[in-house]
Order: sequence, then structure tokens, then C-alpha cells
Amino acid sequence: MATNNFFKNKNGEEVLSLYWFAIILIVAGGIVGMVFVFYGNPYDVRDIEANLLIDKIADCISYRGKINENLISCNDVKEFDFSQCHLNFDGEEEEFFYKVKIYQLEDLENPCFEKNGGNLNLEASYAINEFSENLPTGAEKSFYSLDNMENQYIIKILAVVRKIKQNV
Amino acid sequence: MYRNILNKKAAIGETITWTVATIIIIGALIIFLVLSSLLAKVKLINFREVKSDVEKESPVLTMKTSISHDIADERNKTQIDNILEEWNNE
Repeated sequence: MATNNFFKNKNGEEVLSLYWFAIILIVAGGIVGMVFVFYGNPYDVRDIEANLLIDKIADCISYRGKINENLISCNDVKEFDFSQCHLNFDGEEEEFFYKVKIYQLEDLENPCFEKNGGNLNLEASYAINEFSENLPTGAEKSFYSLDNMENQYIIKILAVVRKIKQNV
Repeated sequence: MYRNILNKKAAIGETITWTVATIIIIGALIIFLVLSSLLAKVKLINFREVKSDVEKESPVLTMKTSISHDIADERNKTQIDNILEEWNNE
């Protein structure tokens, strides 16, 4: 009888040990799951990146309220050389798209200057106008500037960032 | 026989305690999992859905526009501001 009780008690201890082991596994699995869910979603800062790109391009083409006519002008055709803006895409030009349009105040339908660069396919993707991790995102902003003759212009800048796989 | 029944009753009580403890542990884990997945969604930063107009405007571009207005003695200011407001909120 005493031997029988001893075995019964031992079985109970084994069951309790297994139970504890299972609980520890569940808790550990839960913690791993929480960390995976939280850190599995990277910070998506592409919208901020697009806005920063617009600010940098705006700084490049307009300074102290005046258009940089060495770079762009509505009066004579110039090749907009983006390298003069000192922006470094670090070999990731395919991940970006930008478009600069300048409108005279008298004609807001037809831009007097238009130039784009980067990956042209991104413009169409951005036009879908839906925010998703799997679609390029961007921004379009406008501001007002003058040329040296104090002619008035509205400058519209579109910037699109893809970085679907590796936005950090 | 009587002793055996008593022993079983004690085991039932203990089993209920552990079952409730297990449910609480798993419930807490599920709550934390849901909370962490909700926190993970906050990482998507989307200015297009920001409600405040202040955050939609770029201070750099607003400053440039303002400087140009000053240089041009606020010529056509209302017209230009209306165009910019319309275009920037499209």
C-alpha cells in the first residue's frame, strides 16, 4: 500500500512538472510572439522622407524667395542638373521619383517648366492614392517664388518614395 | 475508501486552482499580444491621414512663400495663398 502511494505521488509530481514546463513554454512563446509582432513591423517613415525630399529640392531651386535661375528658368530652357542640389541617393535612385513644375501666375494650367527624375514608374503607383506598406508613398507640395524680374511663380514639387522592402 | 474520496476532493480543488491560473496566464498573454500588435501599427507614419492642418504644412515651404510675399510687397497675396491652399490640400 505504501509503495502504491509512493508511485501515485511520483506520477502527480511528473504531471505537475510537465504542466510547469508547458506553462513556461507558453509564456516564452508569448514573449517571442510579442517581440516578433512589434519588431516585425519596421518604422515606415517614407512619408516623412518624401516631405524632406521636397524641402531639400525647394531649398535647391528657390533661395531667399527667389528662384535659382542658374538651375531652372521659365525664360530659357535649362537642363535641370539635380547633382547641383547636393542630394546623395546613395545608389538608390530607383527608389525615388521627383517632379518639379513651375507655373506662371497667369497660366496655372500649363507649367512653363517641368522636369522629373528618378524611377518614372513610381509616379503611376503614387497616383493610385492609397496608403499601404506595399505601395510607394509620397507627397506633393506647392509654394510661391519670384524670379529676378519679380515675376510671380507657383512651384509644385512631387516626391515619391518606394522602399517597400527596406523602409527603416 | 473514505480516505481515497477525501484525497480526490483535494485534487479537484488543486486542479481548479491550476486551471484558473492557466486561463489567467493565457488571457494575460493574449492581451499583451494584442497590445503589441496595436503598438506595431503606430509605426506606420502617414501624413496624408493626419487631421491637423499644421502638420500638413511644410514650415520650409511656408517660410519661402512668406519671404517671396515680403519681397513682392504682398502683390496678389490673397490669390496666391488661395491657390496654394487648394493645391496643398488636394
